[in-house]
Parts: sequence; C-alpha cells; structure tokens
Amino acid sequence: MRGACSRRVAGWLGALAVCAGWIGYVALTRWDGAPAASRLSREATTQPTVDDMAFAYSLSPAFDRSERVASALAAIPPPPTVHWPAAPEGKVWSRPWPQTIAPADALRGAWDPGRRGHLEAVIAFLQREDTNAALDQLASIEWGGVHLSGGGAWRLEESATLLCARARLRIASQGDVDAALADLDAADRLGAMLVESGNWIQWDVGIRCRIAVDVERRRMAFERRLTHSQAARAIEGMAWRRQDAVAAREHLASALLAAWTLKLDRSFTRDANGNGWLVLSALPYITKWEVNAETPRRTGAWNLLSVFFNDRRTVLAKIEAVVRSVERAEGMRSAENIKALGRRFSFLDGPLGGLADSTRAYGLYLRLLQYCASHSAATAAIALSDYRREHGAWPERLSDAGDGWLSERPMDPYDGEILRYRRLPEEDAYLLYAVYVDGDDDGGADATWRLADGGNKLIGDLLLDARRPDARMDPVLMDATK
Amino acid sequence: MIAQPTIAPQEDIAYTPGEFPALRSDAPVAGRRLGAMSAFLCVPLLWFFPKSMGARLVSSGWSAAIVAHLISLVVAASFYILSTRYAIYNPAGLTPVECKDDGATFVMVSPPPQMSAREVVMAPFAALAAWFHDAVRARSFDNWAPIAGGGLILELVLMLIVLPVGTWGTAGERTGLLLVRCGQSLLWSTTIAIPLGVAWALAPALYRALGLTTTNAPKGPLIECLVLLWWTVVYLRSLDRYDGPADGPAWKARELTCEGCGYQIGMLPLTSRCPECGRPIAEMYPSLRRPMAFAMASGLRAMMTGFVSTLVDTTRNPDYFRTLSIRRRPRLERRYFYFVVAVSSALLGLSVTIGGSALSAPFQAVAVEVGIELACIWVLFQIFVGGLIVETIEDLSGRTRWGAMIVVSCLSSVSVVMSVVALLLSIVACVFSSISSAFPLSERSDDVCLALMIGLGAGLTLFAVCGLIGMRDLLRAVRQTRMALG
Repeated sequence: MRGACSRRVAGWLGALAVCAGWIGYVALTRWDGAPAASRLSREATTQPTVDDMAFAYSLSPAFDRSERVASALAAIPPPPTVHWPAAPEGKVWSRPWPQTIAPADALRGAWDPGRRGHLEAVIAFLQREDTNAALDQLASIEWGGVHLSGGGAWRLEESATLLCARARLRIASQGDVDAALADLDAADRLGAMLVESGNWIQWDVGIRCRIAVDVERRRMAFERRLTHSQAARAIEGMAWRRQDAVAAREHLASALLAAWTLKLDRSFTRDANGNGWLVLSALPYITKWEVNAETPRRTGAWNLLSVFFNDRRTVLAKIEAVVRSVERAEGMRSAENIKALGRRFSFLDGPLGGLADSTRAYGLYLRLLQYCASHSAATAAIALSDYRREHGAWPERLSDAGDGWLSERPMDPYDGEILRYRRLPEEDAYLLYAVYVDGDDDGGADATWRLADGGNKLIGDLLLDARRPDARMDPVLMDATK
Repeated sequence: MIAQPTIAPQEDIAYTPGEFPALRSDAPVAGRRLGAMSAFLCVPLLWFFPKSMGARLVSSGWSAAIVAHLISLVVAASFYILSTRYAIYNPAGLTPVECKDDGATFVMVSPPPQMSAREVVMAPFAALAAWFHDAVRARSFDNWAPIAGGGLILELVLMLIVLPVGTWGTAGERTGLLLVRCGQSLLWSTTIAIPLGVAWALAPALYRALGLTTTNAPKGPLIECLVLLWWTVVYLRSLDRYDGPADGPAWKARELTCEGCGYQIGMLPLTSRCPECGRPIAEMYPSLRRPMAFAMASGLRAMMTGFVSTLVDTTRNPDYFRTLSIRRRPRLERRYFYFVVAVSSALLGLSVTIGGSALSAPFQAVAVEVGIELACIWVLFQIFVGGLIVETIEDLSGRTRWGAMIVVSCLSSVSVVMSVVALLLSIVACVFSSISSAFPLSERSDDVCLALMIGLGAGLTLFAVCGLIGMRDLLRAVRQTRMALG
C-alpha cells in the first residue's frame, strides 16, 4: 500500500517537474522579449534613427515635390456645399438623394445647368481664380515620387476629381478639349504618383483616381465628337500606361510586403535565424495592430501563451505566398488564388490575422483588374468616337474601331478576351462591358450580388460604356403617387 | 437503554432470531484499477461504457479527477470561445454576414479559413488565450477576488446539486464512501465538456452536411436540455458499479426491534408481544411485508402489469406501506423509479405539445421543442428532488438509504398521476380551441379568455391537489415504514 502510494506521488511529482521545467524554459526565453521593430530602434548605433532618415529624405527631390503637393492642396479653397433642390409639390426624385452633394458628384449626370440648378454653384466654384490657380499649381507638378500622409492622399484624390470636373466644365462650356485633356492627364499623373508611393492605402486611392480619370475620358469621347488629332493625343496621353498595369501590380506586391512585414516586426520577435514569436506583452489587443511607443508594456508572463500562436516564420511564409501570387497574377483565376491564400490567415498569426485577410489582397487585386478594364475601355471609347466621326455611325464590331492606328486591342482583364461590344442603333449608342468576376458574359447586365451557392456571388458584367455609368447620379422627378 | 430480558429458549416454541443477516454478504467485485495517466486516456470510453468505466476512473483518486475536471473546463471554454467570439476563424464554420446592395439586404457567407493541422489543434487554445489577453486589457476583470470566489461557489453548488442525484447510485456503502464516489464521478463526468466543446465547434459543418439552417436547426435550449439529460444518464450509470470496501449498512447484520417502540425483540417467542408496547411480534415479522408488485415481476408483460398494480396500490391503498418491504436491495425499485420518471416526463412533454398546438401560431411552432425541453427538465427535477427526499428520510430516521429509496420510488407514482392530469387538461384545451375556432373569435374573445383562465386555474388547482396528496402519502409512508423490519 505504501509502495503504491509513493509510486503515485512520484508519478505526480515527475509530471509536475516536467511541466514546471517546460514553463520555466519558456518563461526564461520569452519573459523579456520585445518586438523586432522596437529592438531595431534601440540599436541606434547600427541602425539609422528616424531623425537620420527624415534628414536624408528632406534632401531628396521627393521631399520637395511632396511639399509642393501639400502647399497646392492647402491652397484649394473649400468646395461649396451644394444642396439638392427639394422636389416640387406632388413630385419625388427617382432616387433617394442626400441633402448635400460633393462638387465632383454634383457635376456628374446630364450637363444641364438650366434644369439642374445645383450645377451653377459648382461651376462658380471651379471658375474662381483661386481655385483655378491652385488646380493649375497641382497640375504643374512633374512626375515623380511623393510621400503624403493618409489625409493628404484623400485630399489629393478629391483634388484629382476636381481636375476631372474642371475638364468636364471646359469641354461643356468652352469646348476646349485640349485643356480638358491636359487636366485629365494631370489628374492621371497625380493618381500614378500615389500608386508608386509604396503604401497600399495610397496605392488604392491612386488607382481609384485613375479609374475616375478613365471614366471621364470615356464620357468625353462619347459626348464630344473628338477630332482625329484630339483622339490621337488622348491615346498618346494614355500610351505611357501600357506597361502600367504590370508596374501597378508590382507596386501593390511591394507595398503589401512592406506593410505586412512592418506589422510583423511590431508584434513578433526576430532572432538570428529570422524566426520569432508573438510578443503578447507588447500588444494591447491581439486583434489590433496599433503598437507604438506609448503602448504600455504588460508583464512578460503573457508571452508564455504565445506558444499557442504561430511563429514568425510561419506567418512570413503566408505573407510571401500572397505577395508572390500578386506579383505573378494574371486574370480572375489568379484572383481566386489570392483569395484562397488570404484565407490562410487567422488570429493565430497575431495582429496580422485581422489585417491580411482575404479581403485585403483580393480586394486590391480586383481593383487592379477594374483599373485595367477601365483603361482598355477608355482606349476603346476614344477609338469608337473616332470611328463615329469618320463614318457617321458606331461600328458593327469593336475591332473595326481604331483599326490601323491602335497599337493594342482593348482587352478584358477578367477573361483575357477582347472587351464585349454591341451597337445600339435605336439609342445612337453602344454597349461596352467586361465579363467581371464571375467570368460569364451576361449580355451587359449590371453586376449585383445574388444569392447563389451560399449567397456570395457577384453576378453580372462590369459596364464600361459612357451611356449609363452616371445614370444613378442624375435622378428625375416622378409623381409622388408612383 | 432498556435491558434485554433473558429468556430461556424452549424447544417447542418458535423464536425470533437474534439478528437478521446483512442485506449484502458479497464483497464488491474489484474492477481493474487505473492509474492517473491511463485514466486520462480512457476518459472517452466513459461516454460509451459508463458502467464499467465509472468505477475504474474513480479508482484513480482525487488528484487525477481534479486535473481531469480542470482540463475539461479549459478545453470546453476554448472551443466555446472559438465558436462564438472567433467564429470566422473556426475551420468548421461558415460565417453569414448581412450585406446591403442597392437597398436589398442579403446574406454573404464567408468561407472558413484554411488552416494547417497544427493550427486546427491550436486554434481553440489560442482563441482562449486571445480572449483572456484582450479581456484583461479591456479591464473586463477589474477585481479577481469575486471571480475566483464565484468560481469556487459555483463548483460547490454543482457538488450540492449533484450529490442528491448520485444517491440513486448507492451500493449500500456508508455515507462517506458514497460522497467520495459521487464527488469523484462528478469531476470525471465533467469531461463530457470536451466532446461537447468539439461538437459545438463542428456544429456548423454538421448542420451544413444535414442541410440545416438557422431556421430549421434545433435551438440552443433544446440541445442544452438533451445534453444535460445525457450527462445525467451517464453520471448515474457511472455510479452503478461499486468496487470499494464492503463497509456500510448493507454489509451489517440488522437487529430486530419493535416497529412500534424500537425495543429489541431478538430471541423472543414469535407468539409473544413486545414487552414494552405490547404489540404482537407476529404482526411485525418481516415475512409479512412484500416488495412492490413491479419488483416481483419477471418478464416484460409481468413488469407492465406490476407497474400498473404498483401505481394503483401506491395511489389508492392508504395502508400500502404497512405491508411494503423496505429492507432489501432496491434493484427493481430503482428501475421502477426511472420508468416512472420516463413515463411521467413523456406524458408531460406530450401534454405541453398538445396544449401548445391549441394556441396561436407562434406557440404552435415551438410547441414540440418546448415539450421536449420540459420533459427533459422534468426528468432532471424528479431525479434531483427524489434524491433529496431519499437523503432527508435517511438522515432523519433510522432507515437505510436503500429503504428510503424504495419508499421514494413507490411515491414517485404521484408524478404519473400529475402528468396524466396535465395531459387530460391539454386535450380538453385542444378540443375547446377547435370548437371555439368554429366561431368568429372577435365576437367571443372575452369568453375564450375567460375559459382559458378557468382552465389554467383548474389545472393549477389540480396540480396543487396532486402535490398535497403526494405530501400526505409521503408522510404516511414515513410513518408506516418508520421501523419496518422487512
């Protein structure tokens, strides 16, 4: 009896010793751990400090350019608050409409200041001298790298949209197509500067700018009968963007890699072999990544729990897989691959799990595809406009337009085929669209979410013609009873 | 203490024996004992073979049981947090997200993450760690003392709730041994949380495979009731086998005492009377008492007949307990109790379902679920209250725990009567509802409300009457079996 009892006690003591030894080892190695980013800043003797980097940057051309962008943005007067007119008695607008409208949105829709009274306020704003001077200053900034804050990027996008609006005004009221093309080229350039900023948020803003410019080009080509020289100039203005999609993809990959690696360094240690573990003591919350100097450090005991999370090498492998797939992406099949790779991230990867999920890289790549489609559609719209001016009617086939002087065919990035085109003789218009993410030609039906296969299918096509994209911005009065 | 009279035995007179033999003379069959480490490996078998595994796990001692209990709590909490707070990272889950597009609302389903095998194993524990880490940062636990104290109190309350239930698994051992066995079995039985936690996390995948959606899938309370019922069954089955020492009332010889005054009547002539109170000894001799009819039956048909006749005897015969044998091993009596519990709960559930179907549409939709839930709760309630009464009778009088168990088993027949009353009431309500629906309700709504109130009042009154009858029967049974010899 006594022997059995002592054996049992010895067994429990042995188990306890193993557990205590393991916990002790983990505690000794991890108690004092710190994220790699904070360690870098500590090793000031070998690493450049933030002040050093800021000084070096201040001597670069990008600093000077960024300063000029910032001063031009600051010089733009605040846009007027445009109020949508109240519907007359017994009438309602065909779409619900906010009371205040951004100027860029107000300019969209039919150019009919007589009927759409709110346009006058915007026109007056764009014709003010100080507005024009600030926009000219912005348009004169040469191509090159730029470093802006998050707020600066948003303001730059707003200003690029104002340039698009001024281009529209110049065509509609003065018929000055050349000046309008110059404004569009400037807005395009500003967007491209953001794309190359190395920050994925600014990349996204820049791509959106450039898509807006393409929309304006399409509208201009549809509404105005461009001369052949104007069409050629417009095409020439976009020619430098032929290789742009590849560059934008690479910029996206490098921006994602930089952002994610930085966040990894802010939450994981890094040893000599490049491996590390999640520093729970440095994190305020696991699902959030905001770690800075002010974040109070918690007891190192929390780091004992990091054994349940992935190590640095595992997370880095996931990041690199996504980045590689973005670098090599071609069409929608690659988008699905990016989405699948994004689903590998989870909260076991620490703060990165909440950020680098499927929606991030996948959504950004979809934006890139949309940008490619928009670029192709703008080229096609200009070629179609030129054909219409020469022959008096829209062509039967898209390949007939620009035949002989377009160096590239307008391709659908979603399936690698030529963009879908159909003439609409009764409306004196045409239908131009891409197959969009479902990869099916739906005959030009506008894309919408539909309940199918679990409810997450985006069905329909991406409409790229100038006939309808702003219809939603141009509501009409209807009888209230209807 | 009254001195025992010395009587010289005579050969032509029949005498009472000096004492009765013990109810159990057999030594408990010692099962194969398990060490702590082996016990952890054998835990999953408990849920398939509770009767054999229960005794073996208990043989591993307190420390192993406590460790198993703590591990099961941690694992269950891990899976629960993964399934609720970190649901979008559950490898088995699909997370529905409500979206709006062009004014239309629809549900998008986010696919589960792709995880490696290591991540799948670690995910629940990481979820627990992440929740704990963030909760402490968010100051969800500002004061640890109430949390720790609350946890301890919760554990104690759980013990207090479960011990009366464990009474039904007594093997005739002394109270201390039974308490130890109940406590250890309880700690081991909480390992059910591990498969439940896993099942909780896998539920989305299971629902997908069965084609269930949020609308037609069984609701949480129903599942909880069924799980609680399953746990109770496993817990009681795990107490069925006893392999401890032969130490307790069941292994002790019984003295012969007068049923009226407690005077020792061993070795007195059978034809004599109690020297203290004058009660004839022949009238209280054990052979005059019989087991309940159900316990004497063999075969299914005889058992059904025995069930009915026991039911009638205990509810109709006021002197039934004067002839009931309570000094015996209550194998079949316990089975009778379980049978009564099952029948009465099924009837009550049925009556709720029928009654619910007589109500308006929202109640009709949930009538079956509520019926099942109530049946489960009624089972648990009867087992708990029955155990509580057994303990009370055993503590307050000289009966053994087995004797008290036989008394309570017989009295459980009242719950069948109550369930039958409930069923009849629900049928009446259903008929009344179908009749009233033939008339325009708007014109007769006051009448309908009045009738419903009367019906509800009548039902409650009948239930109260049945309860009072049950109390009266209990007091009568206690009185009539106070010092029963048989």
